[in-house]
Amino acid sequence: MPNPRRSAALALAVLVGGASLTACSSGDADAGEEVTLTFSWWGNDARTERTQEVIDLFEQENPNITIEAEYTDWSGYWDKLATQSASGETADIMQFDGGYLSTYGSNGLLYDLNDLEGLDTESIPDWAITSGTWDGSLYGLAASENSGALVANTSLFEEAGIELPDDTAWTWDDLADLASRLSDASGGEFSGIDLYGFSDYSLGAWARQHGEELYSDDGEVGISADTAASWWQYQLDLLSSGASTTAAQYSESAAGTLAEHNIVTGKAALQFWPANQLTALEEAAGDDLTLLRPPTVEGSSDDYSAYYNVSMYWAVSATTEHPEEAAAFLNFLENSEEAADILLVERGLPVNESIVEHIEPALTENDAEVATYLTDLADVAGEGRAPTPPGASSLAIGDYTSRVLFGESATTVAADFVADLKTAIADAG
Amino acid sequence: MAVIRELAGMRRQRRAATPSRRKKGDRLAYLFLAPWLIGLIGVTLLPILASFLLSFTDYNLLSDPDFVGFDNYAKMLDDPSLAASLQVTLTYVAISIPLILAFALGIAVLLDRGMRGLSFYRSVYYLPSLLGASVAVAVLWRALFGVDGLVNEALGVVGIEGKGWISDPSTALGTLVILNVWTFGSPMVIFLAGLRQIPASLLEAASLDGAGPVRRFFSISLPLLSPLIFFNLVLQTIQGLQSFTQAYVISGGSGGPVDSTLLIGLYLYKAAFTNFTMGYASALAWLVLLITAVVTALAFWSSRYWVFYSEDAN
Repeated sequence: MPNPRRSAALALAVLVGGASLTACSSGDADAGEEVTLTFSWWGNDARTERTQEVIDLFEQENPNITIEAEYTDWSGYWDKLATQSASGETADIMQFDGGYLSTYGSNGLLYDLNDLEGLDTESIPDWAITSGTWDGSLYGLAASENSGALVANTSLFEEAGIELPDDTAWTWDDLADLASRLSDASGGEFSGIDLYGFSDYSLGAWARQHGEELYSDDGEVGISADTAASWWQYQLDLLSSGASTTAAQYSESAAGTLAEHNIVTGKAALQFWPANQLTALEEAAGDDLTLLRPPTVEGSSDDYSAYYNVSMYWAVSATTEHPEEAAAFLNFLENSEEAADILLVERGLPVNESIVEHIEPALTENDAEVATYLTDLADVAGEGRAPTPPGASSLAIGDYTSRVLFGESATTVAADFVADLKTAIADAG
Repeated sequence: MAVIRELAGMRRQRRAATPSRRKKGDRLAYLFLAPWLIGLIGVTLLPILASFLLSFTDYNLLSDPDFVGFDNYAKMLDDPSLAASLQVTLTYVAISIPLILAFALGIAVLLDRGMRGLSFYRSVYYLPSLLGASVAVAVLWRALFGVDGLVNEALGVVGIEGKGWISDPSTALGTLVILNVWTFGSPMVIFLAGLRQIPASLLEAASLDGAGPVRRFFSISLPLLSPLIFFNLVLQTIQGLQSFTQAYVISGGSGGPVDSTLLIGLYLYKAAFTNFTMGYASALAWLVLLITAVVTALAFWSSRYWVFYSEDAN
């Protein structure tokens, strides 16, 4: 005899099971011309707002394309991307970083943009194309350009009664001297310069100024242990002369968010940063910050080894189902004036020169300062840099800097660094 | 003859009747168990199996795994960072467990006196153990123990100049230990329950015989509590060995100044997601399992000597 209670329970179980299964299925593209693309990027709230506006604009102009946005902050982005890659679910269009481009590209996860029909790369300068090419394939379309700079807190300079230096003709010794003077004049309130060894950008410039290249064009380690050691030794000298923040302050800053850095909290008057970060830093600091060119070994701007680096790329997933639509969206992001009007220089200066001219009048004071700094470098900038070889990004240079700051000799640490770098690249290759 | 045939027929009928009813009941039970079973197999058992298999491969997550036999395990013997990490982890566990148990037991004894507002205090002390493993608290800890943190400001009031507790290799692990000890609430609640279960008659009898509170505690309460102490010891040790979040947030993912906060969980994470060596990370996971098993086995073995189960007495 069918038990009514049992049948009801059975029906309920089936319903619950069915409901949970439907929750698992993802939204597929509709039939017909409707296309859905996923687009992922990292950044803060300001970037999210602007990017979302651009997406909405694109969707309006292309009603058959829907773009699903996926965004996280920097630290979670790469873990997420790695996991998505393992399951084959990367976004169609991804914001990318030079440190990872070659790794993902050489593992066949990125579309070779040279083969992407409909993509317009006419107005992209050659150095930008070089920076996105690995092993003959163009994996990343340069979204914006950047360059290293020294950020200076002008309010603190005023407090100390010291003038800003002439940044076209100063040497590393001048910088050390300036930082010392700032520390002394501050009466213990702040240090001249914040220790900067948590990123390798200034290491690349240092290598060039000493006649070497951090990575050679064919993806090998180009810097020597001696040059690396001298980069750390310079920082140690800054530390021991009192010109810089303490090792403890550096440690905490390096582990913190942008707003916790010493240049923002007023604990240091100078710090190396990529130029486009000026806007975010200034907003966080509330003080007046400005950009200075890093010093050179000789002190003359002819020796200036600055180079443009691509601050971020657009990459397309190798397994995308809609390459033409992806190309259309990339063109919109990269070359359209409407997108540029919204994004301005939040991701850095656009590489497309006509776009830069177009947006110049609309830039805020800070953004204009960044733009001027970058465009002025054109006279002295050197050749573009190939992307970081696979495996190299797994080394956290900050760990080596910690070892030096807490007592190990710069020579030993530098030798370890170069050896570890070679091993990492060899293992990944 | 006919009777036997009839009896056989009846038996066949009964055999036919009962199994199908039982089967129908079973089927329903399995249907309701199914979501949990799918979870157990899919989210727990299969990944464990996958981890075991992956530990014998070289897998960078972006391309297919390469079988390499015992290479990952051999690599562990020669890895200075692993040795450092194990030392850090074992130090962390060795220092925090006794402190946690001491605090938990101590506060439980104090609360057991039955004061006004007992439930308030109990909740207040329990709260940190709920929040302890969260990112928010780890961020808070950085603000407390940083160079310009609250702790140094407080010390400054008394005239002591504090240093960067989190950024100094010799004290960074200490801040993690303090964070772990701060979450003593959950073992404390267990001890409180245990104290309540001690028969009042035993304690009364002892005090009538002239035993003071200290004697009563060490000779009666503590032995009777020993099963719970053992339980908390094992649980906290396992949790301590697996600790990850606090170390990750406080050191910014790096393992602290010069590897001083590189707990094994964090080292495993770095091997997996920073160095893209999933195979090695999987092997490390099994190493952690082995260590946990050994430590737990040691605890169980030692329990013969100091854990007193009141049932044994009869």
